[in-house]
Amino acid sequence: MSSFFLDLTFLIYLISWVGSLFYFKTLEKKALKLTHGVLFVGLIFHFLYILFITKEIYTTSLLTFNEVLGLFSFLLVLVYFYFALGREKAYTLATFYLPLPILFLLLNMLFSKKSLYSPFSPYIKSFWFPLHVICALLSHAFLMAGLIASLMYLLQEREIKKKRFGYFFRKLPPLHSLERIAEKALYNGFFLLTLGIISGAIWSELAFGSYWRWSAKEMITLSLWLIYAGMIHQRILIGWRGKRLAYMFLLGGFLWFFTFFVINFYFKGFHTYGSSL
Amino acid sequence: MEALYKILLIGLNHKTAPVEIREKLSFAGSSVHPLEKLKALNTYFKEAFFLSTCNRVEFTFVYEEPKKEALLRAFSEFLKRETDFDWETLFPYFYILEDEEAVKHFFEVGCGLDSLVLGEPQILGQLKEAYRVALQYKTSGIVLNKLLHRTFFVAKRVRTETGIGGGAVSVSYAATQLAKKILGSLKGKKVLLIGAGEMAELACQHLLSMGVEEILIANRTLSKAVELAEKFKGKPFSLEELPEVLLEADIVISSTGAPGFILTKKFLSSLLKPRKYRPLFIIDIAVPRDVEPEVNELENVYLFDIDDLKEVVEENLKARKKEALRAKAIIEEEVLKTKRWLSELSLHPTIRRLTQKAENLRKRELEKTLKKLKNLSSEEIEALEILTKSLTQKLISYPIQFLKKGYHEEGRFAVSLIREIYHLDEEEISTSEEEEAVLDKDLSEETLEKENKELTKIIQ
Repeated sequence: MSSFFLDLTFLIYLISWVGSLFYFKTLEKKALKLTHGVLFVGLIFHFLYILFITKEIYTTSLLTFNEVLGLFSFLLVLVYFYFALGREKAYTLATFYLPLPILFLLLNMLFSKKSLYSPFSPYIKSFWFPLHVICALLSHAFLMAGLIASLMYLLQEREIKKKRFGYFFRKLPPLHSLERIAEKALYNGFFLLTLGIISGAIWSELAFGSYWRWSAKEMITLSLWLIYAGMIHQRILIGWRGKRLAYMFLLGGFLWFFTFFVINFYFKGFHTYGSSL
Repeated sequence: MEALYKILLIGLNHKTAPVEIREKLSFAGSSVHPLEKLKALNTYFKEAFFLSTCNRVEFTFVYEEPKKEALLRAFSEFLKRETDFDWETLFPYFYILEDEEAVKHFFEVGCGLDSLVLGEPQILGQLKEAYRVALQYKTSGIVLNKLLHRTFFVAKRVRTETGIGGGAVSVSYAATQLAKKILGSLKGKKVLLIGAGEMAELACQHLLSMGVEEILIANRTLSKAVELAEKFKGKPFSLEELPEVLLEADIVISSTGAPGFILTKKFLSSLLKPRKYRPLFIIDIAVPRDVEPEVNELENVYLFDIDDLKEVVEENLKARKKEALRAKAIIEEEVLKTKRWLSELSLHPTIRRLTQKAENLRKRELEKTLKKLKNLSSEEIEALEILTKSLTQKLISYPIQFLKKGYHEEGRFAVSLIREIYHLDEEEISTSEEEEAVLDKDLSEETLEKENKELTKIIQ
């Protein structure tokens, strides 16, 4: 049943992305509305899927990387709606952003089940664990949104500086809107990342008896946290914005990619999936 | 006997005639509208329409087939009397279009394909106004009413289905668009004008209408800045105060007559940090330029000079030319539809249509009834057949009588009335009322462009 919902969600997301491509080409308002409608339907199915796998996790006591990917994709779409329905008028964001949740959903489907699992032992089942996971993944989702907005910013900025007012200039949102999205993503993402680290530390203390265990993932996350903290500092005090902030987002995005895939797969140890503790 | 209604369009435009001729024919000076004068000739034509804009003067007549020569003669006499031009002198400047060609021309004019600035929307407003005048003088009848409603409809269709009106084609509009792409919106933004000349004043008017928060004016002679500031409730500054004023501004428009650069890269780069790297959009419309071109390399500073903006405009015009081809295809399609309407606007096709429609309806209804009544003998079916037939025939005999009688008394009006009552032009999706509603919506967009146009004229 859960895999049926997964396939359906994937299909619906794909359709809505095609809709957003069509919107990008024609800039027809109706196309965007339709895209959002379809995407929302997909989100509902995705939510059902999440409910199913949560039940599965708690009954089988097995946590796999697939489920994390599925949840992350769900949160990415949620964050998309946060920005799409927000005040910033960045209508063509969907075209660039939607491939992300689709990609993670695809990865979810491609990885053979059970290959990367961690036993979900009773001492993990505390209130702090889901809080830690959701905060961490949601912060990642926000930072991804910031990354995409930053990429769009860099593209649009180049068009304007080079005074080429062609295809992309017309379709891409104003620089100001993209910057505001990146900024909001940074603040929200940073806040949630901090929350994720704190809740993770508390959970770690409860489960293993130490707040910080110097695993590779923790190290990278800490450096990510430092980068984003630095960005906020520069943004507020010196007024860094635009291109500089966009480049920092690129750096953060690269590091994040490293934590999420490379470490989860190649580093064995606590905190990565598929390792027995 | 039926006389065919024909359309005749005589006109000249910016392509065929110099402005000296156009202005004489525009009747702008005379107190009496040309349609009023033309009404004296109404034995020669059924309907008349007069369109005069700065780029074109056009007369359109609807007449009955055999009267063409007489109409042309009367019209040339009318021109001679009113403008002192001989028909022979004017003839090379005129284009004379008939029927289909005239319909096509109407559509092209309405879509802005025949305008000086391709795809400009004002012409539609001017057409509407001219139509209003024609209605006022009661020179517009069924054919012209249909033709103009069709024109408005086609113009709207072309505008929504092609990009003919897309992209800024005036310098000031291009600048506004750019500002929006950089700053998001102009609301709440502060604009600094360097130089208090005529251009600055025009820019002021334009910017205020776009909703900017405050206008700061810096000028070499302070008194001029004060004068302009008072007029637009701005703040005056001298050029020496530029460093402080630049900290506040989001948009800078420079138009001084200074021989050298007023804003240099070195000067502006020292201001970046105190400005907290807020984006700065600079438009340099002065010749020689006021702003060093390298300023564009600075972070979050976007500099455009007059040539850059003109380039934007040219690119957009090129894009519009491509779209014009697509517009022409739509127009061809609509001309065909209108042509069919025109050819059917006479007695016999209408009667045929009416009987056809009645017969179709009868058959459909009869079929429905027969399906329900299953146990009928063939005689009973035949009786039903005869009953329905005679009923429909009797019913439509009245409108047919009205048509035949009315056609000779009131002409096309009776025909179009019957066509409308019985929905004989069914394949036409939109009615004229819908077309009107669509047009009214369009006008608000036009006012925006109109304002832009005023500024452009001066800048160019």
